Amino acid sequence: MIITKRTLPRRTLLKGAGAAIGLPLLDAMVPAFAAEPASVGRLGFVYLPNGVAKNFTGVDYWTPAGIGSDMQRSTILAPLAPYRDRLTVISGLAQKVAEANEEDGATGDHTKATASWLTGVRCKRTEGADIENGVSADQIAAEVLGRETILPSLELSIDLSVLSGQCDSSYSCVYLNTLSWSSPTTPLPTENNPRLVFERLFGRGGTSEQRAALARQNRSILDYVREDFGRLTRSLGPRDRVQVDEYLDSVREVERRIQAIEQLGDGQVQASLERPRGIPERFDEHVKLMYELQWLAFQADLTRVVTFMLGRELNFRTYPEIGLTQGHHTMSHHGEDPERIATYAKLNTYQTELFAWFLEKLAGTTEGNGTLLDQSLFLYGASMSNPNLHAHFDLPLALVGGPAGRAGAGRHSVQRTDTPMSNLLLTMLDRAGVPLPARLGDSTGTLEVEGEPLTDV
Amino acid sequence: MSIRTGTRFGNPKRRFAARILLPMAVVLAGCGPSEREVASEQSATLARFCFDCHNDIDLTADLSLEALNIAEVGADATTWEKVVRKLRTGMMPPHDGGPRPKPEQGAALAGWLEQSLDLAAASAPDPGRTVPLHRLNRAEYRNAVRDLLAVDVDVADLLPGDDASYGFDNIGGVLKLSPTLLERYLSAADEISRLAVGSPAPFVEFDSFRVPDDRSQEHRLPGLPFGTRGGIVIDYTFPQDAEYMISAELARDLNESLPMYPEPHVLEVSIDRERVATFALESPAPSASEDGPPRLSREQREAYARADEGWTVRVPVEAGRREVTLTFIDKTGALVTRKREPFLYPFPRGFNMDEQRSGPYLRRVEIGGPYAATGPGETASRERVFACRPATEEPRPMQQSEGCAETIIADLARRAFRRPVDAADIDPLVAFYRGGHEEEGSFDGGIQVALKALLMSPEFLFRMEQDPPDAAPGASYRVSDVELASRLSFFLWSSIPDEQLLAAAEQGKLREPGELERQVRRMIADPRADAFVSNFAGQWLYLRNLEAVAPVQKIFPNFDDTLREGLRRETELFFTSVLREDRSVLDLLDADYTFVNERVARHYDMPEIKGAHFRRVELPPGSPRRGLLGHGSILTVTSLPDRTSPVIRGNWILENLLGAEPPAPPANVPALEDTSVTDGAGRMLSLRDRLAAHRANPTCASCHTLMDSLGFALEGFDAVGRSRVIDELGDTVDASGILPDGSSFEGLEEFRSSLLGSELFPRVLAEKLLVYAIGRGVEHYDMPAVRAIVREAAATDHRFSAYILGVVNSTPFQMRRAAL
Repeated sequence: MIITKRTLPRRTLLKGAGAAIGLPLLDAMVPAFAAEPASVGRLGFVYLPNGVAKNFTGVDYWTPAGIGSDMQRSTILAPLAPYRDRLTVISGLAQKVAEANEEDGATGDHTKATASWLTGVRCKRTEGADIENGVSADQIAAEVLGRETILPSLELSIDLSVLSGQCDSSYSCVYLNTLSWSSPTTPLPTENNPRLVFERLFGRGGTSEQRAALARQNRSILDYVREDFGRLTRSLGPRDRVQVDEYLDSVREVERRIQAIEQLGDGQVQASLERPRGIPERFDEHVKLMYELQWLAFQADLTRVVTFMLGRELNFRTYPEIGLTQGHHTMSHHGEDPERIATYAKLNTYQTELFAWFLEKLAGTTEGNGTLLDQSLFLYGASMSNPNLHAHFDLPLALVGGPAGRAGAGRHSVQRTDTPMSNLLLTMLDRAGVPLPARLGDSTGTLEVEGEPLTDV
Repeated sequence: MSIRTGTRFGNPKRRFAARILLPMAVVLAGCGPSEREVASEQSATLARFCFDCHNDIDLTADLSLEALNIAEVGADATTWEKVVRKLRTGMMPPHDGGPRPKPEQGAALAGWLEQSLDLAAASAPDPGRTVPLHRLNRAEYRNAVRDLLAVDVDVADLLPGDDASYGFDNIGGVLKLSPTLLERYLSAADEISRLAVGSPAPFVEFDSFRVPDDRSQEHRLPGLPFGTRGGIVIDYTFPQDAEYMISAELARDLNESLPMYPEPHVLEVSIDRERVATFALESPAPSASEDGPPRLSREQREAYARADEGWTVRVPVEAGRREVTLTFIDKTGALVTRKREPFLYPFPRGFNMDEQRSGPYLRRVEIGGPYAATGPGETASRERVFACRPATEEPRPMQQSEGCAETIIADLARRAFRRPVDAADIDPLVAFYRGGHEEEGSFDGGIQVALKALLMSPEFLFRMEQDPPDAAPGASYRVSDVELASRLSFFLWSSIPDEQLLAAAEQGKLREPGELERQVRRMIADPRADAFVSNFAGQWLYLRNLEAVAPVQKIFPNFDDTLREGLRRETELFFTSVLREDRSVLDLLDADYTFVNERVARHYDMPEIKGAHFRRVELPPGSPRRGLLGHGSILTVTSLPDRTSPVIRGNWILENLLGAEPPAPPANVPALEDTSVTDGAGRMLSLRDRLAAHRANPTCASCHTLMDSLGFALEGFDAVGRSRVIDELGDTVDASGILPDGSSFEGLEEFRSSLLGSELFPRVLAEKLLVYAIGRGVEHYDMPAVRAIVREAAATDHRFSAYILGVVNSTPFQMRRAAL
C-alpha cells in the first residue's frame, strides 16, 4: 500500500469558485474593537530550537558587536537590518532553571530548555499524570489581550510530534512539544498543519447563514458535553475532579469563542488566502505559510498572542534546500569547531530570513496610523546559547516591533550576567499593557538597560 | 541446591528452570541453605559491592542500602526494585574499575531479591490506578469512528497529534483536553457525521495529494496494476453521489520546467480500477530554422511547459470509499533495460543535467467536489447507521419516525459508549435528532446532528473508569466486565469493542473460564489487530520515525520513498507473522526468515527476488538479516542522516531490547567530551577512538561503556542498513564489543546469541506491553506482575500469545486501585 500524504500545493490545480472562504471582514470588525484602542495589541514569541551558532571562545554569529546604539550587524541578525529602528538585541540573560541540578542531573537539557523558555520554571521530571510546569508568559498575556478576540492565543509549530524515542528520557514528550501552559498542569498542544490553523481562524467555509446555524448547533452540543461531564463524573473524588474542572474550563472557553464569532455578525469577504490543503513539503514554504496565517490572524484581529516553534528541540531535520544535510540537532553540536559553527550559522540566518519575510508583511500592512508591526512586539530567539554545551546562559534573544522601537532605536542591551530571562518576559508583558503578575517563574523584576528601563517609551 | 539463577547471558533454558524451582528452595527448608542463610549470603554480597557508596554517610544518589532491612524487602519495594533493575541490566555496580560481583553473584542477589519481592506482593497485590478519564488518542479515535460508522477519515487532517510518555502516545495521564482540541473535535464530529449520513455538503471540498519527491516512478509500484509505472493510489471517501473533479500535475525539474522525453507518455486515471480518463504528454517536434538545426520555437516551449495545465476530468462517482489511481502506462519494455539503481534524483542541486528519467513523474493530485449532487447514495456507512427507516419521509419530526430514530441512536450509543445504555443516555441525543430534523428538514438531517452530538459525548471521547460505589478508599477491585472489554479492545485493536466482545461483557461471560483467552486469540487473528502492530511495534521499535528520516542524498543516493516504505513493510510483516503465527518472541531477535520484495532484496544484496510484492524468504544461519537487528528499518531510524551512530543504536538496544535505564548524567558532566561523543562527527579520530576517549572519563563510562559497546555490534550496517565491511572513515568495520557482564563479543552473530540468552529481552517486552496495554507507566508495584508474565511465557517457549495473555490476566490489567 502506498501512503499518500495530503500536502500543500504551490499553486492550486482546481480553482474552487464555491470554495472561497468567508473571512470576517477587517473593516467590518473595526467598530467592534475600536472601542478599545490597542496600546500594544500583540505579542509574538518565535522559538529557535537547539540554540544558535556560537561558542564561548570567540566564535559568535548571533551577538552583535558594539553595545547600546553602537550595535553592529551580526551574521544571523543581518536579515533584520531593515527593522533596525525596532530591534533590541538583549544579551546576558539566562534560564538558570534549565540548568543541571543535583536532583535531576544533566538529563533533559533540551526538555527544560523548551519548558522553561516562557515559564521560568523547572519542569517536573516525570512521564506520568503528574506533569507540572509553570504558566507561560504568552498565556498570562492571553488572559488579558485575548479577552476581546476569538482566539486568546495561537500555538504553532513546524515539526511532527509523533516520532518515537525523540524525547529526553524520564520526561514526558509534552514538555518538548509546546511552549505554552495555561496552568502548571495544562500544556496547550501546538498545531503544525496549516489547514487546521486556517480552519481555527476562519472556519471551514459555507455561507454566513450556514456558519451561524453551525455556531448555534455547536453551542447546544457543548451544553450537552458540559452536562454529560457533570453527570458522569459526579461520583469522582476531589482529586479527579480537578481534571474534570480543567476540561469544563475548556468547554467554557470554546463556548466563549463561538459567541465571539456569532457577535461578529455578517461581515464577510473572500479570504485572501485559500484554505490550505495540507502541510507543504519544504521547510521554507511551510514556515512562510504559518507566518502568513499569523499575519492574517493579526490583521483580522482574531488573536493577539502567538507562539511559534520553528522546530522541536532534538529534531533531526535536514535543510537540503540550503545545502545542509546533517540533522539539526547534530549540527548544533558543533564540537566547538569554527567551521561547523559557520555551517550552523547558515541555518540560523535562514531562519531569520524567514522571520524577516514575516516582518515585512506586518510592516507593509497599515493599521490605524501605523502598521501591524508598530502594534506588535516579538521575542525572537532560543533557549540555549552555545548548543554544543547546552548552555542556558547568555541566551540569544531579540525584541522586534513597535514598542521595541520606542525603547530606543537599534540597540544592543547587555544585561548583568545571569539576569533571569523571565525579567524580559515580564518587561514584554508590561509593554503590552498586561498587569504584571507578582512573579513569573524565577523573575526578579523588569529589565533595566544602562540605568534606564528598557520599558520606557 | 544453590541459589544460582544463571548468568545474565547464560543459557536461557537452564536459567528459567532454576527460577521456576526457586520458590521451592525457599519453601522447603532443609533441602539447601535455609532462608536465613540465603538472606545473610545476599546481605554480604550487598555489603561488599554496594555499601561503599550507598551507605548512611555517603548517601550516593541519595540512597543508603545499609539502612534497609533486607529481611523485609516488601517494606522498601520501591528501592529494591531499583536495585534489581540496576543489577539485572548491569548498570550497577558502576563500570569504573571498582570491585564488581561475578556475574553469577549479581544474578543470585537479583534473583533472591525478586523472589522476596514477589512473595511480599503476593499477599496484597497493588494493581495501581489508571486515570478515570483516559482520552482516546488520534489513532484510537480514527479506528473507533471506522468501527462505529464505517467512515475512514484521515485524522491528521482533523486532529493534532498526541504527546507521548514512556515511549507511547496512549498514556492516559498526559492525554488532556485543551480548548483547541475540543474545537477540533467539534469540526471532526461535524465532518464525520456528515460523511456517515451522506448529508448534502455545505461547500465544495478540495483535497490535495502529493507524491513524495523521493519516490521513484521508474517502475510499477506496490499496489498498482501491472503494466504501469509510478503514480499514486488514493483511498478517497466520496461524500455523495455526485460529480467530482480530479486533476493531476507532473513533477518539474530544478528550474520548475517540464523535462522532454523522446516518446509520448500517458497518464491514466481510474476509480476502483475503472479508467475514467487519460492524459497524454507529447514533446513538440522541432521545426526547421533558417540559421541552424531544427529547434523548438518559443511558443512551442511555452505551450509544453503548460502541458498538464488542463489535466482535469469531471466524473460522476457514486458515494463511498473508492480507490482513485493515477499511474503512467508503462512503455519501458520497449526501452533499453536500465541498469541504474532505482532512484534518479530530478534535481541534482546546483547543476543542470540531462533528464535521466525514463518518463515524467506525477507530483500532485487534487480531488474536488461534490458538484451536481444527486443524493447520499448507498454506502457502507449508511448501511451501518440506518438500521431502520421511518415509514414515511417527513420534513418535520413526527411521532412515528421517532421510534426508528431511537433505535438507531440506542444502537450506536451502546457501541460508542462501549456499555449498555439507558434512557438517560439516549434522551439528550434524541432531542438533538428532533432539533436536527426540524432544522435540516429531513430524517437523515436529524440523525446526522444526533450522531455529531454522540461523537462529542465525553463517554465516546474518553475511556471512563469509575470506582464502584462501595470501594473503600485505596482498595483494589476488579474492573467491571465492560471496562475490561474496552481495555482489551483498545489494547489489541486501538479501538472500541466489537459486538461479540461487548455482548460477552454485558452478559457477564467475559471472565468465564477460557473466554478471555478465546476472545484474545480471536482478536489477534482479526485484521483490526494490525493496529497493534502499527501502534505498539511502530512506537516500541521507532518504525514511525522512518517517515521523517532523510538520509543524505549524496551519500545514500539509493534511499528513496519506495525503499523507506519497503523497509517499514518488512518489519511490520515480520512482527505480524511472529504475532499471528504465535511464534516465540525470541524470533524477533533471531529468525530464519524475513519478508522482502525486489527493492528491499536488492538493498540487502539478495539475488533473484523479482517484483514489488512482498514474500517470505528463508535466511540461512549466519545471515546478517536474521531478526530485528538486521532490519534496514531499525538500522536506519537509529542512524544520523550522514552516518551511523553507535551511541544511538546502543541506546536503542539498551532501552528497547534490554530495558536498562541509563543513569542521568551527573550535573558536572564534562560538556565538551559529552558533545564530541553524542554527535561526534569529528573527523580526526575514528568514532571508536573518540568514544573510547570519552569512556576513559569515569563519569561518562557508567553509561557509555554499555551504550557504545552494544552499538558497535551493528557497525556492519551503514546508516540505511546496507551491509558493509568498510566504515565511513574508510576503516575496516570492527563490530566487536563488550557486554554488560564484562564478556566480549566478536561481531553481530555472537552479540545476537548473547541477547538470546539474556532474560532482559523477555522482561522488557512484557514491560512495554503492559505500559501500552494499561496506558500508564510501569511502577515498582507492577514488577511482580511483569515477572509473572515472563515466567509463564517462558513455560510456553515464549510464545507471543503467552505474553499477551499474561498481560491480559495480570493484576494491573484486571484490577484497579480505588481513589484515596
